[in-house]
Amino acid sequence: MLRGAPVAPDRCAVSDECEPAVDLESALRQVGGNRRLLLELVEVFVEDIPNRLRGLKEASVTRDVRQLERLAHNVKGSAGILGAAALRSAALTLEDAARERRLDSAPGLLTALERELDRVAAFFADPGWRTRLAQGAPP
Amino acid sequence: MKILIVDDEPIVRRLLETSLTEWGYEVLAAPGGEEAWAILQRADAPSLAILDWTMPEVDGLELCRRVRALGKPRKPYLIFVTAMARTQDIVTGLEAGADDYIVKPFNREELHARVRVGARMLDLQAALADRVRDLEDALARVKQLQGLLPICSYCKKVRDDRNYWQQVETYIEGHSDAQFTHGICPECRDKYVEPELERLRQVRRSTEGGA
Repeated sequence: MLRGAPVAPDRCAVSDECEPAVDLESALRQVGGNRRLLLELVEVFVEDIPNRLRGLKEASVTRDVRQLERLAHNVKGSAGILGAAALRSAALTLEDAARERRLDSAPGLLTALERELDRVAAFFADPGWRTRLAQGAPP
Repeated sequence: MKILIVDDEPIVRRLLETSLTEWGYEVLAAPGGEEAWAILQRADAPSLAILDWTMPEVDGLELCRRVRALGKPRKPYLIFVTAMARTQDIVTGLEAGADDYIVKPFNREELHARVRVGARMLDLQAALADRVRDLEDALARVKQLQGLLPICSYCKKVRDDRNYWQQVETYIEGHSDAQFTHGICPECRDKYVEPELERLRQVRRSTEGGA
């Protein structure tokens, strides 16, 4: 009952898939069904998004591949915990590109990552997810 | 049991911290390898550490190598929890000295089970260390009876390390767990006891004869 969360049509048009940015069931599984912990993790993640983006862009501009790889790697880890599959995959692609020093593709991949970050941020900004979380059955 | 969490990602740190606390462990968290290294060198360092690999400056791999090179007799049990998921990464991590390896995103129940394995290994290690210490103590006591002992050629007294001459049984009792119970061997019975008894019989006969 946590699946099928509504996605704004414009976001749907941008994204490759019309899947919601976050699979709440998967996120709940990651935290062992602890809703309060999930709320806390989401808060930490959302607060940190501008910092992460700034760091990623800076690393891309200064062509610091190690930093770019590490920051993308961290986004991948958090996205995995929060059930944000598309964001996780975008972060993984950027991480791989940085590791293989394919810097030419970095700006495009970073744009894709930013788009997914926006989708995740929008998902959590909508108070509806908290209601669904409160109503959802434990995994 | 005290557990150290080392991860530069706040969300992972928070998730690990909450899970481990929920399972009854005392938790310390470090945001990077350098901070973790300082904690692990302390006398009251946690006995188990959960390490991320990818961190700025001192990464998990370097931390692992440093811990293994520590002169401490009891080194912490190290579990990598990392998104470095290739077989070669796992081999490298374990060869750097990690005791276990979990790939992110991790399953909480699996992590819990592996932490319990770590606790079991640490208990076993501690029990073995106690046993070795007991054996070493026993060996040290036995050693006191080794070496060159000066002994009197006539009365067979032994000279101890404080230059006192002691009966050999006193010396051995003082330097080992052995105790003596006194008796008379057949040879000494013939040589000392029988002649003495004979002498006493003669004394009695002469006394009776004289009466």
